[in-house]
Amino acid sequence: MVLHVMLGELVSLNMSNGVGEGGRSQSREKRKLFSMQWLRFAKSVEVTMYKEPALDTLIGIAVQYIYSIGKTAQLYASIAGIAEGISLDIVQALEGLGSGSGILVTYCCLADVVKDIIRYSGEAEEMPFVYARPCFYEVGAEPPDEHIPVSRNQIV
Amino acid sequence: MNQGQQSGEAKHEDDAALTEFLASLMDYTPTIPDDLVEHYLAKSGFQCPDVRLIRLVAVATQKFVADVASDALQHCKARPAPVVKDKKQQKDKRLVLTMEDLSKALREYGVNVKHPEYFADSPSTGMDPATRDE
Repeated sequence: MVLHVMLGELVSLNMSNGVGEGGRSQSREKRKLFSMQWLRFAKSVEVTMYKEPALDTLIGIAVQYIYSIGKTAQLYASIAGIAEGISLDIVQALEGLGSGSGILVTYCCLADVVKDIIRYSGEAEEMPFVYARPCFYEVGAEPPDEHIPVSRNQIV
Repeated sequence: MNQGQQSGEAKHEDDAALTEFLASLMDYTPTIPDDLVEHYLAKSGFQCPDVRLIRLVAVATQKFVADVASDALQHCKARPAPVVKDKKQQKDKRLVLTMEDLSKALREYGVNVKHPEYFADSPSTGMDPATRDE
């Protein structure tokens, strides 16, 4: 299936996150916060305990899923000749990842995947991220490059 | 002609439903933070300043993981219960997310995850040297 092929290709990319030590530590921090939140999420689906490799795998799969959506949506945006993606690109990417062939032939109606997402958002319990996400200023660290803002106030 | 009009109307309704859903995402906070999704989307090359689309991806990912976790849960429940000698163990039945159930669930989505086998040179490999029997 397309999902298997794309995720298989991107596993090695995920293993080498970031550029240099600063980028790798930032990605590790993001994954750590990700795993803490997923512990809360796992309990919502009746899973009371977990094996750490299984949780790490699940988090990795989630990250690769986001990466695959972005990659596919960017492909559709490039085909359309636009720089910034639109909602249609995301929908086509979701439909393509969900189908067996991985090819979206026509867009005649709202994709079943999107309908499922709409239904899921209405039924699932809202569980926002409750843990504080530190920035470089709060942890007393220097950003690796000048273009990276130190504090949230500098983010435009 | 009628079929074309009907398909056009259906498409218009679907577009309206999608627009309405995207607007409702501003009031719905997904589990995955927006900046985390934005980070990985940017790494993939997809530039999008619209927060609604980022949240759409976040909700889609959340649903995907929920489906995988639920399928893994079903595999865990479907496994025959082991023979329990202690009554305490029988009462304390916990559902554990393991690689075995997770790999079975992911296989249905086309993701092949296999835990590598562990091979040791000798029975004492990996043991604390102080506890090894020489």
